[in-house]
Amino acid sequence: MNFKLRLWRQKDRTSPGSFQEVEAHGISPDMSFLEMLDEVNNDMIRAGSEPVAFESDCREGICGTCSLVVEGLPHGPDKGTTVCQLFMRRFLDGQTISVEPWRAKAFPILKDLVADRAAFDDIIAAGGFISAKTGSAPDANGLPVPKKDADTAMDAAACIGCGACVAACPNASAMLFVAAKVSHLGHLPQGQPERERRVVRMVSKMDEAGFGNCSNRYECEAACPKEISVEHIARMNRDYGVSSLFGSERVRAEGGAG
Amino acid sequence: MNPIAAYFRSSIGRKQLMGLSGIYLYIFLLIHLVGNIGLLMGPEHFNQYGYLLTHTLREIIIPIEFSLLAAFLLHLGLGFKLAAENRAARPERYAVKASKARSGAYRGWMMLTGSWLLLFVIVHMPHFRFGAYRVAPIANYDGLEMNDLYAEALRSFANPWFTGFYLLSFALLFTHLAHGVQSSLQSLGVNHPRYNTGFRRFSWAYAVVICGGFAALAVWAHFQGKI
Ligand code: FES
Repeated sequence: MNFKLRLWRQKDRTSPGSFQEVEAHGISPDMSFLEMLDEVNNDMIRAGSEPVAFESDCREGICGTCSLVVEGLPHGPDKGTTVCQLFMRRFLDGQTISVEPWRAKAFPILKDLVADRAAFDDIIAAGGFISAKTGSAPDANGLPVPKKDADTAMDAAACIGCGACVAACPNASAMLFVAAKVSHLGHLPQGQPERERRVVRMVSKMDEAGFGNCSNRYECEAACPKEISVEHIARMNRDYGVSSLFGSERVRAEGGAG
Repeated sequence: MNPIAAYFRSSIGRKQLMGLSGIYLYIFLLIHLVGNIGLLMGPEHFNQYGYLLTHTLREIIIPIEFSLLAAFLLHLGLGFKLAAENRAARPERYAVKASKARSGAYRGWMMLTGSWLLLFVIVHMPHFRFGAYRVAPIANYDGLEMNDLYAEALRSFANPWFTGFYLLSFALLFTHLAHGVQSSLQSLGVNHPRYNTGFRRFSWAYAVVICGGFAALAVWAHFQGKI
């Protein structure tokens, strides 16, 4: 298969970027989108030009490193799929495909298709953890968790932190990511001691990082490769209101891990 | 920062205030609509109702009006503020933009329809709430003099431009409510798989009843005024 690619090229954080038109030749329909880009990069290297920078790690849809906006859709046109698991057979031979990085003020572009998602790490460090004693593992049945809660927590824990929710949101809001983390730990007994602190601090970190506000358009849910539900956002809204207005401790926004 | 102050400055806190003020305003719309239905019962009933609000129940109504004004200003101020922040959160736009969500485009028009509704209120309030004292003729029932709001409404709606402006405003209000009612519930954390379809239907039904009701009365007044 052959494709005409429009790849976003940007030298660094501050330089303005633009599209570069590149031809991809002899692509197998069974290649993933990233393997196709590897081929294109090989051609560029052979031709002596600079290859396009993009991120990936596991290439099996579980790590959340890959992050491309393909034809205006974060992770491409498939539902519940990361772009590393998107295959070229999904496209038409000869099709023109635009590839852009995640765009958000809180995710500055480092180079080409690579955006800096450290803001997510800061949010996690602000409260996305539990305090547990180290030592030998406790007995698995020692701490009963209702099946329903375990399921909901698992659904939320499926979040791989890729940031597609931010990329898809018309307001570049990080609500789905933060909600997934808050809801995941909030559903488990181990998450209870820090429950109030967690939601307040994570939300305040999120606001501080410059993400937009949620306007309930649900683009995030549709773009999420793990199909995490906006129900978690409602739960976080509830938790946040209750914890900051009626919480048993006076949580200060600052502080976090360590 | 004090946790309560932090709440009112946070994204979620302000969204919840938007939702609450919105809910207050849309409950008011329902009451307003019920009052307007009085138009169908003729001039005496409608004018007496106006008199009841502006004179007999004055002490109760004025504080309510101020609370509505406060909710309106809060809703509008936060709306503009949040929208500005949202724009700033993505300084560089996508060259190609598509969507996987199957939500209607109208959900993205809140700013636009909201601004129009502000214009509507600026036109509507001085006319029927304050201006009526000056423009409306006087009706006399058993020696009690009052503004003939009924006549004023019919006279105004006889003008097709005036009716058109109102109808357009109701149409935009419709899209505003269709998203807003549901959105306010989500912001306040009211979301449950068992009731979500119900909320979505309620959101639409509410918008249909409110806007359909006002629009029907405007059309009725238009034709009534002509004859
Ligand atoms: S590279 Fe790991 S999810 Fe795509």
